[in-house]
Amino acid sequence: MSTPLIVTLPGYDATDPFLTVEHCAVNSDYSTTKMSPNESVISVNGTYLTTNSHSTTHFNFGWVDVTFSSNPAVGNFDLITLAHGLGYTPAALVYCQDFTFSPSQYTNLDFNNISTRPSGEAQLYATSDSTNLHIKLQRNGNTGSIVGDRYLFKYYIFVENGA
Amino acid sequence: MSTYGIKVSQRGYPADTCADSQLLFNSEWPVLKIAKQGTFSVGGSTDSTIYVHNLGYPPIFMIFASNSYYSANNLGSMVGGSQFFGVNSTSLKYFGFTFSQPAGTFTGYYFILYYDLTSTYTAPTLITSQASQNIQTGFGLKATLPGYDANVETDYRNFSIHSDTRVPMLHMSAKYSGTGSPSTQVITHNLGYVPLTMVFFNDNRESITPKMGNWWQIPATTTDFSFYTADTTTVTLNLDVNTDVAATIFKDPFVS
Repeated sequence: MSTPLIVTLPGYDATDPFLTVEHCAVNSDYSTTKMSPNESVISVNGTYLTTNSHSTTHFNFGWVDVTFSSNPAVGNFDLITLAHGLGYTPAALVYCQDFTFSPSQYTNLDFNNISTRPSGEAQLYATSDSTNLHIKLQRNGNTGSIVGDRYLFKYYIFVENGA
Repeated sequence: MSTYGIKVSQRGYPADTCADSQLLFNSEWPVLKIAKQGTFSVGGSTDSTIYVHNLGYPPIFMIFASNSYYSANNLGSMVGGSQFFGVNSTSLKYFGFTFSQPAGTFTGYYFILYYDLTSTYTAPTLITSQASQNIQTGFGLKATLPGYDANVETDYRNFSIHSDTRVPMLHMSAKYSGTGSPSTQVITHNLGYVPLTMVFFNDNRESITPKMGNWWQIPATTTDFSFYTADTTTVTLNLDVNTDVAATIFKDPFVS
């Protein structure tokens, strides 16, 4: 039997027999949501996007800043592919900063969760598999030009399973 | 101010001078500990329970669902504006009756975390200036889950904590009640960067009994109910009528 690492939050006694996990900063009897230190290989769809910048750490958490350079046709496209190197489908969160639409342009760092919607003319969404995290565009109709639209995607890939 | 405590930096950073966001953890604040994780398969128009946690409070949860109708596999608590996956003080549940279209089967993975999403909490902000990564390898902390040997284990999933990884550290949480009319609530976090944020809502408008008392995690984009935005100093919650909203803000493990 190994001895667990228990570090309590301020004011709690690690030897208290009634100590709960909620009162611990860390308790090695329980797992935590850990972000992977693997290097992500970033691929941007050059047909539709220009890369403005991306994070330099290349870990499985970071960001990619892109601008639409041409209008995608109706269909489903990979905009950004992040090879995570885990070999299984991980849990992942993706947030998106929309520079183009409300509430303001460029000065506002508002990250919006990507939501997938069954209707509407175009949606951004994310999906992952055992090789990649995909940031995708589903264009359902002729929506007018999106050339010049700029998005900053922030991604967190965990080592924990996501499927 | 605590008399005792421990903090561990991410690999390469000096623990005594690095920013809060460069730490692996600090005993001044909690990290998210996993109460339960696992797969599920639910669907159709019948409500079902995915997991009975019996924690006695609505915990932070995450859903990563797949459904052929939506062609994606990281669908969250709400999909297309519908409230599919919610949590209450005893269970994580699927609400099939909310959907007006054929939902098919959702398969996926869930996390239930040891933290009451309705809690009010603010961690101290100790150091905000970023330190240089100036320590070579050979330092760090790793603690395996029970049954694994930290000397030989290489799969990060089998560690409770490992200083090669980064763990979301809780900075603030707060809950606000609906006022009877649309309103805005601004939470000042002052972290200096756009933090990882999770927001949940409890739709008290809902007259359908099974949904009362349950919480859904909402996307930041505008929904039928409430939404939120974040910047380097604040998180702004836009509350719909009678909608309770709870926000959890993390000391983001990296600066954007």
